[in-house]
Amino acid sequence: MTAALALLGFILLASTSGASRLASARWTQHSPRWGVLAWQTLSGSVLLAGVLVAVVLALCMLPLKINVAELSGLTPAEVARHYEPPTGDWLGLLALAAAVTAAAVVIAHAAGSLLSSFRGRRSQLSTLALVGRKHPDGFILLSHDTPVVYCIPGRARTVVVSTGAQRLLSERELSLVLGHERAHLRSRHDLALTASDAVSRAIPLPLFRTAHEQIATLIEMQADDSARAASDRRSLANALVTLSVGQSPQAAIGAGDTAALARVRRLASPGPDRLSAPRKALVALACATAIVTPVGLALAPAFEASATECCTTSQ
Amino acid sequence: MRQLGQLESAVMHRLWSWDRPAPVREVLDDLNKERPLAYTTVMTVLDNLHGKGLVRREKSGRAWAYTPTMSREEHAAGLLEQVLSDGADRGATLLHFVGKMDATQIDELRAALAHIDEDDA
Repeated sequence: MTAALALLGFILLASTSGASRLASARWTQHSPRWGVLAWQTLSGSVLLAGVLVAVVLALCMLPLKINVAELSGLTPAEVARHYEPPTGDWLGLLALAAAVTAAAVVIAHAAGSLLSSFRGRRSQLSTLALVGRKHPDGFILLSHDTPVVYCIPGRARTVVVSTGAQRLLSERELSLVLGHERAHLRSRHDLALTASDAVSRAIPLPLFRTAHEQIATLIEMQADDSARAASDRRSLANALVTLSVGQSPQAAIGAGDTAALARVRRLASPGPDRLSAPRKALVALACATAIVTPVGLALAPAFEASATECCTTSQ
Repeated sequence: MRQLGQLESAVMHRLWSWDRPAPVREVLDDLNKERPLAYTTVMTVLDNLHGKGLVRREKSGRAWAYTPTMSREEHAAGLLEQVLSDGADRGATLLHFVGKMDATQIDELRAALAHIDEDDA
């Protein structure tokens, strides 16, 4: 029972204090790739802790107790005794049912997203085959005044540029924007977004919503880093503003692309990946700790019992 | 199947540029200028396009005459609608370089850009 409470405490801490500290951290913008990893790890550790709550409450009924027994040097019966919730079996069963349901809902959302994006991409590509023109620079040119540049992830790995965008951007700016889109395609950012979106829709924890928004912004910054030289970054910032101005502004205030301003400001600073080696090591350590802690909390009762028993028997 | 896609494209381009109902015979004769094709091939292509809802047909004498259901511009607009729409893109179907913004946000953006210029100067 104490393990379950400790895990719930971990979930609370990670999803409130952990989330707010990571959201206000500046280093994530210096190395967006590590920033994305940090958010994914934070979310993953909370999900893991959630599953482990169900596991520790139901452990006396699960064959897993044999593995725990082997790990800690206790007998399965002793393990069951230390993990049995005082309220009886029903709590464990309820927790297991909740965990399985949550997992199913996450998978359902992810599958739904993948299916909907597969269909959407296929329809885009077939229409583009009809009305688009292949440009020698490796993108599809679409005849339309509204300036847009976008990419279609997946197997097709296509970048689409409208004639409106081509008209507004210089050659240099266009090639930098293409670099940005290709970075998205190479890194398969769509997969990271699908995952974070599915989790945030399936489980209404504020942490997951924040993680999804942060990941969405950070992958844009990561793709911006395909422009390395200061002059290139300035040109990319210019392209960003040009294209957003060219698209008709929304009538309503609020919503809209909130990442754009942060991206332009960030492109003022020179060079990507300015996270120092010690900093990276610290982040890696924090990520590892986040994953190991729930497991440790779940196993703690068994190891504690094993330690006390070993001490009492030796006396 | 690849070949068929290119043919569909070629047929649609002709229908769009003529901008009037055209029978199979007319499309075939024009396509034959570039490469030899059978009447049945072109007929099948137009039938497929009809099945996909890209063309509609009306009787002109004994033959069907085909017209596109949507103009090129309408197709392009439809594509862009998907890109620019606010509707939640669940699976990251597309990745847009930059999204729409309101006037206030655009002013902030311009100010931020001007700031970069000042630093360089």
